[in-house]
This record gives sequence, C-alpha cells and structure tokens, in this order.
Amino acid sequence: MIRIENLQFAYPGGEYTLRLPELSIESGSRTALIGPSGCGKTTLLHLMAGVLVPDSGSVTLGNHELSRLSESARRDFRAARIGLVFQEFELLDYLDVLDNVLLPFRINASLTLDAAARERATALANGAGLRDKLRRPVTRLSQGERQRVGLCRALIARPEVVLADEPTGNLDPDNKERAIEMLERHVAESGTTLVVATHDHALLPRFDRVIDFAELIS
Amino acid sequence: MKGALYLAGRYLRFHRIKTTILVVSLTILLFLPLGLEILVARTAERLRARADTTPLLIGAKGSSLDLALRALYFEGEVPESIRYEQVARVRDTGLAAPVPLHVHYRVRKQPVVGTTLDYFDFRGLRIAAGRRFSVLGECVLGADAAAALEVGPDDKVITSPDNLFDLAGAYPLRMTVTGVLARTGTPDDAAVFVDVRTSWVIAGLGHGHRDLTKPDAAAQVLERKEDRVVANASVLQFNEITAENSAEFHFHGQQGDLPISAILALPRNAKSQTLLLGRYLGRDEPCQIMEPRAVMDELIATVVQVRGYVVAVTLLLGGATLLTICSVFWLSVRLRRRELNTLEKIGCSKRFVGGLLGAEVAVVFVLAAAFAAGLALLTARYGESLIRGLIV
Repeated sequence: MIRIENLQFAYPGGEYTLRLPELSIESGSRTALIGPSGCGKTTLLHLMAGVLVPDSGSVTLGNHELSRLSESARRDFRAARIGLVFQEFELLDYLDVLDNVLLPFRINASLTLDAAARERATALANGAGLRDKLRRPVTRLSQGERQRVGLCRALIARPEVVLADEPTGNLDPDNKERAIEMLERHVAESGTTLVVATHDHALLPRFDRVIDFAELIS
Repeated sequence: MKGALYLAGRYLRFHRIKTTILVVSLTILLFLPLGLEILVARTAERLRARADTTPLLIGAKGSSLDLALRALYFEGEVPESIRYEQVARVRDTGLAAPVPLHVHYRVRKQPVVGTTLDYFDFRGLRIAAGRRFSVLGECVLGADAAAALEVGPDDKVITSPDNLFDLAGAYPLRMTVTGVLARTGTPDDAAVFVDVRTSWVIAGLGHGHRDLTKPDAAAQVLERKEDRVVANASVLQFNEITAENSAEFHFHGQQGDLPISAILALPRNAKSQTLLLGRYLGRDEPCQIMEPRAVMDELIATVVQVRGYVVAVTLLLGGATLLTICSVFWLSVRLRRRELNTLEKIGCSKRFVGGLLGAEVAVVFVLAAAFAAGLALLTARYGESLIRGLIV
C-alpha cells in the first residue's frame, strides 16, 4: 500500500508548493493519475519513488516511510522495489537492448547480476517482442520498441510498485496498446501496484481507480 | 566498480571517434617528452660509444662534424679528401699507427669503406663466414650489409654509379665477396669493406684494360709515341678484377696523391696523442686533427639544448591539450546530465556516477599511457637509427 499524509513539497526557489493532505493506493491496484500539465503529477511520482523528499508530511510504501530512510537506503529501496517508466524512455544510447534492461543490476550493488537476472532480462525482452533485437543498440529501435525496453528495465527487479509517467505519450495507437497490455499482464501476474500519470483519457477504463490530481490538491 | 567500468567501456566504444581523438592527443602528450628523453639518451650513448673507441681522426679542414660522421658512421656529407701521403706522414712521426679510410661510394645503399686490414684489428671485427679480402676487387661485408644485399662468401656485388648522368664518371666495379663479419651493433655492420686501392679503382683512379703495347692491340691504338701509347675509344675497361686480368690493372700518377677521406690515428700513448695533436696546429696545415669524443660531445650538447626547447614547447602544448581534454570531459558531463539524472532516479548513487565518469577518464588515460609506452619501446629500439638518419 502507498500512503501519503500531510505532504508538502516545493522545489528550491520555486513559487508553487504541492500540498496533499491524504492519499492511499491499495497494493496490487491499477491507478491512473490525471490532471493538467504542471499540476504536479510527475513531482508526486518522484515523491512516491523517493527521488524527491517531502518538506513535510510522509510517503509510506508498505512499512517503509521513505522520508525516514537515508539517501542510500532510499536509493536501494527504489532500485529493488520500484520500477520507473518515463515518457521519453530515458534509455542509454550506448547500450544494447539487453544491457539497458539489465541496467539496474549494473548500477546498484544491492542487486546481484547473476545468471537468473540475465535469464529474466532475456525472457522479458522476448515477451516484449524484442527476441531478435537483444544485442541491437537502442538507437536502432523504433519508438514503440524503445518504450518496451524501458518497461522491461522497470520490471526486471520484480518491483512491488511501478510508477509510470506518461508511458504512452510518445507512442502511436498500436504501440500504446502493446505497452499498456504489457504493463497490465505484469500487474495481473505479479500483483504489482501500478500508478500511471497520463493525459490519455482513452486509457482510463483500464484502471481500477482514476484520481483527478487537480481535485485532489484543491 | 565493475558495473562502472563496464558502462565506461561501452560508452567509450560507442563514441569511438571522440575516444580515439582523446587517446591520440593524450598519447602524443605523454610520448613526446618521454620519447625525446629516450632518443637523446640512446643517441648520446651510441654516439659516445663509437667516438670513445676512436682516439684521433685526421681529415681535410672544414666541418669537423661532417668528417667525424663520415669516418665513424660512413654517412653524411662527403668531406674534402686528403692525399694518401698523409698516411705516411702519420706513420713517419712514430707517434701513432695510421688507418686510412676512403668512404665515398656505395653498393646500393651500403657504404663502401676503403681501408686496410688494420681497421679490422682496431675495431675488433671478426669474420663470421669466409675470409678477409686479400687482393684488389675483393670485399668483406658487415652482417647487415650481407643481409640487405642477400649475398655471402663467393657471391658478387656491384658498386653503384655515383651519378647516372656522368658518362665520364667511374664505371661500376663487380667485386667478389670473400667474407661476412660477425654482427657488432655498430655502423660497421652496414658497410662493404674493400682494400683502399680497390676503392680507388671504383673511383676510376685505377683501371684495367687490354695491354696496348702488344702488337695485336693495334686496332685500339690511336697513336704510339716513344714514351706512351694513346688508345682510341674502342678500348674497353675491365669491370671486374680477376686472376686473369689483375696484372692489367694499374694506377696513373703517384699513390701518395690519391685521395682518402680520413685517417684513424691510433697513438701509442697519451703523450704521443698530445704530441700528434700539436703537429697539426700550423696555420698552413692542410689537415685538421680531432678527438671524435669532443666533436660528439659538442653535437650531443646541441641536441640536449634543442631537447630543452622542444620539451618546453611540448609542456606548453601539453598544458593546452590537457585543458582541451578537460573541457571535452566537462562538456560531455553537461551533455549527459539527463542520462546521469536517470541513472540516479533508477537507483544509482552519486558515487557510482563519479566512478563511471572517473572510469571513462581512467580508461582513456590507461590506453594513452599504454600506447605511449609502446611508442617509447619502439623509440628505444629504432629511434637511434632514425635520429642518426636525421642528423647525418
């Protein structure tokens, strides 16, 4: 479960302060976060991931209140339990498909890069329709393929929570459908909590809960 | 750290042009002062070693450096000749043993050194195959010369013409190889040694042709007088000295007037050396005498001075290059800010990011250092012959 209480956050030097009295998201649920650009959806996802720390209030995932964890503990927590998906994919151009999927294992010592991890990476990439492109540089992939690599990277460490920021924002309808199906399949199979910030209202019926962020913070 | 190294390697490989430019720049930066130091040290060592074993050198007045390089290394500008009578002059003083050197012609790229057998004894040259030369038209090859010409004992070599367009110049002479010297690691390895009289034959100062005094040679005679016979243009010179025609070879003029390049003077002792040095101080003296060590020390001092300037310039350029490289890395980090932020978002520490960037810098430096070390080794191996080629 994700629980947010009395949260306040402002970027240093920023005029806008995000205030959120309370929000709870059930484990294993699929939640869509909608709202106008700039209302703070991405900031909230970063606070949930522990990338940002609230000025006051708390963000709790399971039994862990993120703001009480040290920076390194938060980092390890994020690497092991949270999968992040970005609108611009944020892949490393100088790595191939498999290396991008395995990236969390290479950059965080709390994850062990062993044969099992490699097998899982291959299985995920195969499942994402990238079977014959495992050693291809990501610069030579289509937009849809790149986002699927980004999804595989988010799922490789078997996260408890997947936080996706506009994951279909740069995709055509076919690839959008494929990406969402992939996320849904994973959530259904592993009971992962899924929180997606999106502007795409066509996707909303596929979520258990839709939160209008503008209403939430007013 | 393993992950940082892996990612650094992938990044550098992906940006191979940038990496290559950085590595090449750093390699040059590291190699230049190092290579220069090795080059100067090796060159000085080799130049001194040869000069140290040559006590005194006598030759025509002019550039003492040219004379020393010609007599010691058989390379460089051909200095003015001196007359062979100077050999007798040294011998007659009783102060030193003279060894004549006539270094002018070549067999392909190998210098022909006209001398006496005393030269072999003086330099400690040992025959590895065959025997020393004993008569006109025979030669002994240094180990490298034999390898370059691909010949051995009983094979033939032909001298190269001095000038292809000089029709009146010396004819090429076909010589018999009688022996090959053991390798010494000195310029002697590259030389073709002949008797000094053979070198005069190569120079056209001695020649062999049919005996025109015999009655059956009438067709080649233009004019007969009491004291001489004038031949016409149909007389052919022998281009090889053989047992059959060796008696027909002769020199025109006095032997003492024939040219040599230099004389190695081997004094009996230090006192003889000093006395002999004094004999050549006269204002009208046609020859100069020198201690090769002093000439080489002068040359080395000049080289060391030049090295100082080069090192100073290299340091300045190196500083500029280093600043450029630093700015390349700095700009690279700025351009990669988004990538590095993503790494931190998905669980990477700032320390890891630092390690990743440090590993990239380290790999570039290690590669450059390895290449610079390789170049330094090559310089140590081949640099001396290169610099000798540049100096002479």
